[in-house]
Amino acid sequence: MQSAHPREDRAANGPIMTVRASLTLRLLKRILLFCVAFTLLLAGWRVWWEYHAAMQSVQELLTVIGNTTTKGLAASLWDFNNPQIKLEVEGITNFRYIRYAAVNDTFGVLVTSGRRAGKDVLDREYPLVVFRDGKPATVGALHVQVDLAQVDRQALKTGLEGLLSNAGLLLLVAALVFWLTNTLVSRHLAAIAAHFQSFNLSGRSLPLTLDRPFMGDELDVLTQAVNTMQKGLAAFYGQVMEAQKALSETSERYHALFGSVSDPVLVVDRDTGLLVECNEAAERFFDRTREQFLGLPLRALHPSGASLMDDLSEASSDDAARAASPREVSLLAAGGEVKLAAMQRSLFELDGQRLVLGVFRDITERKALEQLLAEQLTFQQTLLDTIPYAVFYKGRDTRFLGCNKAYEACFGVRREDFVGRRVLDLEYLPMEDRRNYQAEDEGVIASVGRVQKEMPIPFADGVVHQTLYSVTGFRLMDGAPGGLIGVIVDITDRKQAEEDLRQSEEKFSRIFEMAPESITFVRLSDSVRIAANAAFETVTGYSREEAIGASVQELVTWDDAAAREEFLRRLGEDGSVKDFEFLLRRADGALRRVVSSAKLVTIAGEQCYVSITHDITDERRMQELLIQSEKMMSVGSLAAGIAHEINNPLGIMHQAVQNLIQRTSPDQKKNQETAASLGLDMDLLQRYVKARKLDVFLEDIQVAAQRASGIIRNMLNFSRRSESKCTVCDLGHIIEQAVFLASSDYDLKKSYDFKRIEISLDLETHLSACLCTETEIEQVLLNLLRNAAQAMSMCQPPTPDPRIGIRLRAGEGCVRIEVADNGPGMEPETQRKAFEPFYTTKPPGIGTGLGLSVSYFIITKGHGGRMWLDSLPGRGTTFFIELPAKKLEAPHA
Amino acid sequence: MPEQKHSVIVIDDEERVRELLIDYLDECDEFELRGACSGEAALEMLQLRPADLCVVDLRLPGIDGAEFIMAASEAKLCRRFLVHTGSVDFLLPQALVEGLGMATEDVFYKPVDAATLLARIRERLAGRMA
Repeated sequence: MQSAHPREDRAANGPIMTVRASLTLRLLKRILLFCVAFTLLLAGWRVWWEYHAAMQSVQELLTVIGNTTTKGLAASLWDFNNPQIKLEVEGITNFRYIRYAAVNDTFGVLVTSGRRAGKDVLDREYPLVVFRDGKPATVGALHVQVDLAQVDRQALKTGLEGLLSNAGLLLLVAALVFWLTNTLVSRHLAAIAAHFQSFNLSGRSLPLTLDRPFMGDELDVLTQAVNTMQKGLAAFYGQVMEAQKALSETSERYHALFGSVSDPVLVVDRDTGLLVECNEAAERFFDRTREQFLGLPLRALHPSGASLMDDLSEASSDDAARAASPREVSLLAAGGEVKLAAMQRSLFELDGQRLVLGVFRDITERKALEQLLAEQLTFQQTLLDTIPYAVFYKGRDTRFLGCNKAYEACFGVRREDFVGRRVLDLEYLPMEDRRNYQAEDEGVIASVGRVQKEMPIPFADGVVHQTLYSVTGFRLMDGAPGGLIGVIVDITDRKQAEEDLRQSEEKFSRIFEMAPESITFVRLSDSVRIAANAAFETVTGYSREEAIGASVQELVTWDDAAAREEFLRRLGEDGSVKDFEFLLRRADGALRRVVSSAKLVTIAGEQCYVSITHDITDERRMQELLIQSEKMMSVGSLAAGIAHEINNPLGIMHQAVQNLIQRTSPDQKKNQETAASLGLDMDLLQRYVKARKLDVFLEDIQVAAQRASGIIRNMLNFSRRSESKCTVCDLGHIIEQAVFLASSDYDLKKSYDFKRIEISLDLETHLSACLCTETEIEQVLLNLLRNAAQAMSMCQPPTPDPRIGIRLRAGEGCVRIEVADNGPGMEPETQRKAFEPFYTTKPPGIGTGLGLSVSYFIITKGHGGRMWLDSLPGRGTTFFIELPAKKLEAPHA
Repeated sequence: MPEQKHSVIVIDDEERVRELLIDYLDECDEFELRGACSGEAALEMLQLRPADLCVVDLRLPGIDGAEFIMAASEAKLCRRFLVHTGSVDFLLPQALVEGLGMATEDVFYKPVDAATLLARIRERLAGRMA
C-alpha cells in the first residue's frame, strides 16, 4: 500500500548488493559444464565406436581365419606337416587382438601359440576338415582366443586420446568466452546496475553512459531505453508524487473525517459479519469502546439478531443498492437500549476483504420529532380543514403552498392542481385582476404586511360572494419574508344577515313604535319599566317620560294588586303569560279592561319581561254588542213568530168577547128582535148578567187578552212605533225629565227612596243634533234609572253610598249617554242575558223582564243607535247609549 | 139607511177569526159580508162580484195579503183594503204605506179592537159614498 515513498526507497532496498555470482562466471561455468558433458559424451561415443570397430575387425578376422587358414591347416595336419602347422599357428597369433591359437588333432593339442587366458577372452573353435573321396573328415580343430581386454584397452586409449584433445580445446574456448563476455557485456551490465543502483527518482540522475564507443548494439539500445525510461519514470514519478500527495491528503482528511464524523460509522466484514472498524461516534452511540467493537459480530448490535447483516448482504446483491436511500434500522446499544437509526451502506473491497461501510444516523430523536411533526402537520391540516373559511398560503415566491378544504370547495379546485402556481397563473381570473392580486401578494410578502378588505369574489357556484379577504405576510425564523397566509370569509350571509337585522330592527322598532298595543319591558328585579312604546301612552294615559324608569308600583296601572301578583306568579311558573285580563287604571283614573301577554326575556343580562297590553274595553264591548245584537235579533224574530201565532188566538178571544158583549147588549136591534121572538126580557137578562157578574168575567177575559197582546206589543214595541215621531230633541232635557220622573215614580218609591241616591249629571252642551222620539228615549232612561235603583236597593247588603252618574257626551258621529251606578254590578252571565226579553233578576211581580229588551229595541231598531253595558261585579254597571247624530243635509222629519 | 148594503169581504185563513169578525160586523146589518180563507178564494169571489172593501190578513196560504191587495186593486175589483194582522213587524205599516199606498190607520194588529175596526170601515165606506 505504501510502497513507493522516496524517503523509504533505500531503506526498503537495503544495502547495495554486491555481485555474488558473476554472470560471466556463471556463463563460463555453464559453457564448461556443457562442453565437458559434451566432450565426455563424445569420448564415450568414441570409445564405444572404437570398441565396436575393433570387435568388427575381430569378427572379420575370425571369419577370414575360418575361411582361409582352416583349409591349409587341415591339409597340413592331414600331411602331418607340423612345421607348417606351426608356422601357420604362429601366423595366426600375429594377428592383432589374437592372443592364443592352438591346433588340436584327434589326439590332443598339437601345436600352440601364445598364452592362454581364462578371462576377457573370446574363444572360437574351427573344425579342420579334409575331404577324402568327397567325404568330409575332421582331422582336428583350430582354437583361437581373442584378447578382449586388448580390444577394450585399445578403445579406451583411443577415446581418452580424443577426450584429452577436446578438453584442451574446450579450456581454451572457455577462457576466451570468459574474457569476451566480461569485456563486452558484464562490465557494462555492472555499470548499468551501478547506474540503476544510484538511480534516484526524487533527484535528478545523470543519463546512463557506458565506457565504450557507440557500437549500436543491444547495449546501446538498452542504454537508450534506460535513459528513455529514466526520463519517463521521472515524469511519471512527478505525477505519482502529485497523486500521492493528493491521495495522502485525502486519506488524511478521510481519516480525520472518519474519526470525527458525528454519525456512527461501522465497517463490517461481509464474509464473517464481524466488525472491523468503528469511529468515536459509534462508540458513543453504542456505548462500547473500540476494543469492544472490533471482532464483535454485527448481529450483536441488532435487537433481532441477523437482520442487520441481511440488510448489508442485501446491499451486496445489488450494485444499485450502493446508492440506495438510507434504510431505517433498530440498533441495540450496550445498555440494552434500542435506538432507531438511518443506515447508509456502501460496499468496498480492501486487500481482498469484502467490507461494508455502514453509516448510521441516530434518528431516535428525529423519529420522535418526525412523529411530533407529522402529528402537528396532521393537526394543522385538520385544523385548517375544519375552519369553514377558505384558507390558503403562499410561499415567498407568491406561489400557492396549500389551502384547506373550504378553499377547495369555494373555488372548485383541488390542492394539487394549483399548488405551485401564482395568482397570476389563474386563468379563470381576468388578467387585470390577476396583475393586481399578484402585485398585492408581492407587496404583502415583501413588507410582511397585512391587507384586509371586503371584496366580491366569484365562487365555483357561479355566484359572486361578498367576502372579507384578508392576507397577512409572515416571516421565516431568520426574519426574512416567508410568504403569506390568506383567509377568505364569505360574508354574503353575514352581510345579508346584517342587512336583514338592520331591516328587522327597523321593522321591529317601527312595529314596536307603531303597534296599537302597549308594549313595555319591565325589569323583573325591581319592576322598573325600561321601555315602552307610543301605544303605552295611549293605553295608560301616562307619558313615557313618566313611565320609563319608574317602577310599576310607583306608577300604578294595575287596579288590582292581587291580579298583578297572579300575573307575576304565572310568568314565573311558565315563563310566559298569555291573554291575562285585568283592569287597568289610567292616568286619568278611568278603568280599562285590558289583556296582557308577557314573556320572560333577558336583555343585557337582566331578566325582564316584555308585556303586550291590549285595551279590549271597546273591543269587548263591541263583541258583546254584536253577540247581543245577533242574539236579540234571533230572539226578536222568534218572538215575532210566536207573537203572530199568539195574536190569532188572542184575537179570537178578544173578538169573541166583543161579540158576546155585542150580543147581550140591550141596545142592539137584532138582540131585541131575537129576545122578543123568544120571549126573553132583555132587561131581565141584563140584570141577570150584572147580578151574576157575567159582565165582569167578560171584561176580565177582554182585559187579559188585551194585556197579553200588550205584552207582546210592548216587547216588540211596534204599537208605539206606529205612533212615534222622530224629532230633533234636546237630550239634556230628556235626561233631566227622566230623572224627575224616576224620583216621582210610585213603584220605585215603594221599594226604594230614590232621593237617597246621589244623582250626578254631567251633560255636555252644544252637541250634534240627533233625531229621536222623546217619549221613547225618556222611557229607556227611566228603565235604566229604575233598574239601577232597584239593583242598588235589593242587593245584599244594599249599596251603602248609592250613586248614579249620567253623562252626555259627543261621540264620533254620534251622541253618547252613559248611565253608571256603583251598585252590585252584574255577573258575566247576567251581562250577557241582560237585554234578552223576559230575563230578569228581580223577584216575580216586580219586573216583566222586558224593560231592557224594549229599551234595546227602541235604541237599536227605533233609532239606529247602539246600546251596551259594562259591568263589574261589586263595582257597578254602566249602560252606554249611542244615538246617531243627525246628518246636516237630512231634511227635518 | 142606504138601499144597497156595502159589500165587504173578510179574508183570514183562521176560520174562527174570520167568522167572529163577520158575525160582529153582520150584527150592524150594514154590510153584505163574505168570507174567504185565502187570497185566491177572495179573488174568485171578487170576480163573481166586486166588493167595496176587503179586510185582509197578511199571512195567508198561497198569495199573501199584500199580493192579494195588489192583484185586486190592479184588476179594479176592490179599492178599499184594511189589514188586520197577527204580525209583530212594527215596520209593517210603513211598508204598506209605501208599497200599497195605504194609511197607517188602515193597519190593525190582532187582537183587533172590533169597535175601532168597525168605525174605520164605516169611515172608509162613507168616504167612498161621499
